Amino acid sequence: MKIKKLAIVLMLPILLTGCWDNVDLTEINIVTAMGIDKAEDGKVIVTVQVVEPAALQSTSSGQGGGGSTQPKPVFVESYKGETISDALISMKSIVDKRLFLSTIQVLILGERFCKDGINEALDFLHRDYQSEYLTDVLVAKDVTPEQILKIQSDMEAIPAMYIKGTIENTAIRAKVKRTMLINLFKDIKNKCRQVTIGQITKVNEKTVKTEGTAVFRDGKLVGWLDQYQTRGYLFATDKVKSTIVNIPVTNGKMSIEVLNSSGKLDVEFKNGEPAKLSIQVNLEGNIVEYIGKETLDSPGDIYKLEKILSQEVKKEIVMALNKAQKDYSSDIFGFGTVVHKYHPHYWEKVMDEWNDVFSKLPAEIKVDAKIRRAGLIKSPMMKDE
Amino acid sequence: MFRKIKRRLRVGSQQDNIDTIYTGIDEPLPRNIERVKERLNEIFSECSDYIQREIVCGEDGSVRILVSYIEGFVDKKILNQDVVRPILDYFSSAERQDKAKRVYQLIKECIISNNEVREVESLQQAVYKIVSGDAVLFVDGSKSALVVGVKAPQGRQVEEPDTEVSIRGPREGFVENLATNMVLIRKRIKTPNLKFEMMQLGIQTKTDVCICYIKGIANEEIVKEVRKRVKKIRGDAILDTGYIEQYITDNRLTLFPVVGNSEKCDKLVAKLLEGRVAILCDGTPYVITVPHLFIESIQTSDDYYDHAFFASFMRVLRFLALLISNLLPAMYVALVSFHHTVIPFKLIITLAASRQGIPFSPFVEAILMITAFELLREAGVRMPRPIGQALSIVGAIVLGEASVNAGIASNLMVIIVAITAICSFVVPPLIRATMLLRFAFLIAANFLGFLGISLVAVTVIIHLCRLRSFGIPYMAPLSPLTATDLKDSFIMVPIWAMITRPKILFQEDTRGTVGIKRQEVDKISED
Amino acid sequence: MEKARISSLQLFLLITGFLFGSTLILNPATGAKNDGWLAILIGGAVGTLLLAAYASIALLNPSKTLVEILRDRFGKVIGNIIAILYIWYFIHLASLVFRNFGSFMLTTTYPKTPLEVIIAVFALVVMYAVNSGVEVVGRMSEILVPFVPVIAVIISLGILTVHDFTAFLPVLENGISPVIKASLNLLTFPFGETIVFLMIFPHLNKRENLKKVSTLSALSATGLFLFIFFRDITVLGSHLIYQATFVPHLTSVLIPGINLEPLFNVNLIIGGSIKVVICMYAAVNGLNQLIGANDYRKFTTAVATFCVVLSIWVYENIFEMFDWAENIWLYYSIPFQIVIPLMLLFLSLIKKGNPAHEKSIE
Repeated sequence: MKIKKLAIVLMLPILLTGCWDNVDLTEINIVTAMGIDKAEDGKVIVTVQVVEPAALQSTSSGQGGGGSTQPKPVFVESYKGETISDALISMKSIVDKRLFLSTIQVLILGERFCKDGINEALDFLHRDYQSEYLTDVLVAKDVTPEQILKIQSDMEAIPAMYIKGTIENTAIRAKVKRTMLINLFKDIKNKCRQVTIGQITKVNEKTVKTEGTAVFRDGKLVGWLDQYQTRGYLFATDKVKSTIVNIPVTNGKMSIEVLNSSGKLDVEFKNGEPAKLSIQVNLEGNIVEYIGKETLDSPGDIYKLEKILSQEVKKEIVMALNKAQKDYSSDIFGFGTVVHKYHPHYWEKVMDEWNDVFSKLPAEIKVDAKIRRAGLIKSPMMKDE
Repeated sequence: MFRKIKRRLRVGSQQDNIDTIYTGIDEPLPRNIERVKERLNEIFSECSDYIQREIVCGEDGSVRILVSYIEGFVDKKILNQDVVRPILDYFSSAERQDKAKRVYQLIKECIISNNEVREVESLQQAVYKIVSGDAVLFVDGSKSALVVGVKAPQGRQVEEPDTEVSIRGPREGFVENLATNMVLIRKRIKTPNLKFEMMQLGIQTKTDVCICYIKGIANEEIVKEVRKRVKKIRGDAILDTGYIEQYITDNRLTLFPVVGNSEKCDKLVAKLLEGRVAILCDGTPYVITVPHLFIESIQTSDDYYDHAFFASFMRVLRFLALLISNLLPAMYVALVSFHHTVIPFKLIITLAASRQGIPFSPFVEAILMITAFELLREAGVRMPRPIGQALSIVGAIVLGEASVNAGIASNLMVIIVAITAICSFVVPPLIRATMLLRFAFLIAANFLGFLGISLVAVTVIIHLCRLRSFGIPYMAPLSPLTATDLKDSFIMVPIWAMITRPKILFQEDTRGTVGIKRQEVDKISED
Repeated sequence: MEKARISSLQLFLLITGFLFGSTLILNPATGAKNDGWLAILIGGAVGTLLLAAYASIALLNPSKTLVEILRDRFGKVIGNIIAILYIWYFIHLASLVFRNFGSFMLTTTYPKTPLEVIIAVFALVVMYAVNSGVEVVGRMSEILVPFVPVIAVIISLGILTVHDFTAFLPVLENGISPVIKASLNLLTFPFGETIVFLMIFPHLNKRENLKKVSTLSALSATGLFLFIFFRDITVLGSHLIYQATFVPHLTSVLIPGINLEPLFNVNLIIGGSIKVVICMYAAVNGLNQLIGANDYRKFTTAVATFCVVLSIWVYENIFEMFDWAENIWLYYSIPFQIVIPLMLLFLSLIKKGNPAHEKSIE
């Protein structure tokens, strides 16, 4: 009895001193972006972008006054190591506090690193309890992640937030494949669908551009899709939320805003073998701009336009599918999932060569486009003189 | 450990408080008035407020009467008018000479015009009546004395209580005078089933204590248990119902109130009508009610006067406030020192920026600020009202602002302490429990983050489930779940839909075992 | 035995909370990948029968605890030996839950805190609950257990947008055997573990409800398991379910914009504490009855300390824990959970004879 009480009393001081996992917010470096690349000698280069909260607050509040030498709100450091965790831990020798990874907004992978396979990065990030599954992942084309992270944007104090903003914007235009860490974790070992990651390029010292898609096969970078192919790919995989499609019309052009789109993949089987891939896309749009001379007031005009729109979208899908089948031989669409779900026995046989089977299959693409509204005016402003 | 302390306390309380006049057996009144005078003078020696007057009248002074009372306690005008003058008038004009026995009878039945006349037969009782403010008439040759109730009205008028302000509803509050309080209750419940059981407690103070309940509504077992426990009270003084509360409570080692108290008549009456038992005590406006359950802490009398929608909303809000005032600082500490992964990105930057340059850890910072706040509160309460207000303004504005500017506390911490403080005032019955629990949660948060907080919370819940108030589980009707009584818990149904009386006070398993349960609880708490 | 009584609702919540227990973090059905739902259905159905069988044992031996029943049916010597084994089993069970709890906390949130500290602090709370008696534990369950499904639903609502409702296809991809294995796993963990409740059943205030309550709680636990399984598989896909260490935890951190991990931990603390409290209560009460002492509280500290030590010693690393839960636990538990109880049921039936049996079924 007495001993128990005594023990409890003796434990109290321990309770009062915070211990073990108790780390104050001021003792961590808040990492906003991380870049992973490979050096020529095969080692991993990890770049982190760390935000300085105090400096950030003073820049945002002191903007009106226009201070002379403001402290920089972020700093970027790189370090080379055998593995990612090794590089991160070794980096402690050049940064002042413990690196905190949960706040990573964007993860940028280098081209060289991707060509060797991204599994290495994913293992660490998946194992680490701190990683944030909803981090956006991008592949840097033609530049190293470090160069991208070192940009200084005028629009946002934190470059990572700027990059994230551009991804969100471009994703709304359906010109970039938005991939988050969790999507990679789901798909990286999944033979039914190959990984694709958005692409980022550097425009100048202040701006970057996120457009296009990096195509992987078995975890290794094999090529790219440009912005139109990307959109075709997104249409087919039902990832388009909204976008603007430009279509040619007689004596002019027209922009149509797609507001609703649904894509459905299927694999048709004949005699137990896959015979045909089919992609069915339904979309709805509004006319937002029309530069031309035709009138626009009867349903017939709209039907004509719908047809052109369908063809335009179909063209993009065909381009994407051709790239995936002919150039990269990688089932980025996820036809494998359909096969796996509905024809599991066939799938078991073909699992490992599915990408090759996929490349050889013919495809049928159906696009059903509807134009619902035309804005506040009917015929174009530019009428024949 | 506690058992030993208790025993020591008990031994201590038995040794003193032996008073010759009160502990001796009742001695019969001497028939001889001279003897009475002698004894009274002996008992009231050095009592300068003791007055006695001897009336000698009738033929050759055969009628001798002694009037004794305490100065200021009785209304002299009434005494003269109702007692002394009638006696003098009667006997000066009376022709016949009466025997002593007859004189006594005469005085009692036809002379005194006051209605409140009683008889006492022992000296001790007579003395007790004198010190409680009655006038006592000793008649020579009689073996009993007459007690005339001529108490002067004492204390303040009935007014609105400061502690429990209501927006709507009756404003009458109890006063220090027991009789007034009883009238206030009786006025609202006009039935002879409303019972007041009187008793005197306190060896020195002889305070009037009154157990009040409605027969037929209150659970007989609980009434019996209350009676038993109140009668067991041994102590020199009962100055407030708070004393009684501490004697009769089920579980002495708890932060939570297991006995309710109120100053408002309407609230008390409502409790009586729910089947609760009230204990009134002379000299204090606070009336205690038992059993008191957790859910009562978030109920107010206003709830019942207003629409049930608002009342339900307010109750949920009050419960939320209770949670916030307990947990908010601990949550903050846990977030800032453990669970960085949980904080959204934009918030973490704000938090980190606000913490920049603060020399203390969040825990120390929180402890400092909360202690400062509690000090301010305590100082404000004890100060005379105008100074108290000034103090709180100085404390809140100047201290908070200055500590942020000085870089001792982050401005977020100031906000958190302020919110905590506001929320803690929303549920007044639990202010003190919250005050201490807040520190417990803080320490746990600093030790193990959210895990620590959750474990302390589970402990508190276990503790709440263990508690009983007069045999009724403290967390009823939530646990044990009494479906029909949920009508008046977090969500309140309108008054017209409350058809049945609370069943929780009549639980099958508590019936007949109330006494046993008490002992069990005692035993557990001592372990 | 304590004279305390618990109500039907309290027993229902206790059994359900017990079944949730550590099943919330270690899903035994993951072995069957996307056929887990089948495993849960089969395991749940058989588990319900098993629980009904336990209830029958209790009904055939009214107001007797497991230790007393064992003594009655097997004779004093053998009965006592089996009772000791059972007490060991309960202690072991409690320490396993301690360990699961500790490992989870260490992996997800407290990498630097010693395992011992987390388990010991948890054990202090559990001891307090055990010493408060079964009545208080019952009342505690009324406040705590309803949070479990509510939190599960909150988490599910948060990730409503990312569902893929055909994720459980194809059915029976790898044949029936992994499903059977997973359902067996589910039967022994957690359903078979409810044998502990033979120490609690005598406290029920309305004995006639016993069978109804126990089957209902098994069914509702199965329902919640199914719900959680479908939620996880539609969000994560079968591959990730197989790969992740703590599946439902992974789901809870996927909600966009806000991290509900703490809520998930609350669920674990509730389920875990109910489970440990029941196991430990059963163990100390069993010991108490075995020795014939008058107050079980004397044993609590000793048993709790032993559990904590055992839980730290029991595995070297986390993979042993998973391996144990998936492979060894099954064979270790079957005698305790199925063989002996069925013998008991059989013996009780014989002893009672037909008329008594019918009476108890009424």
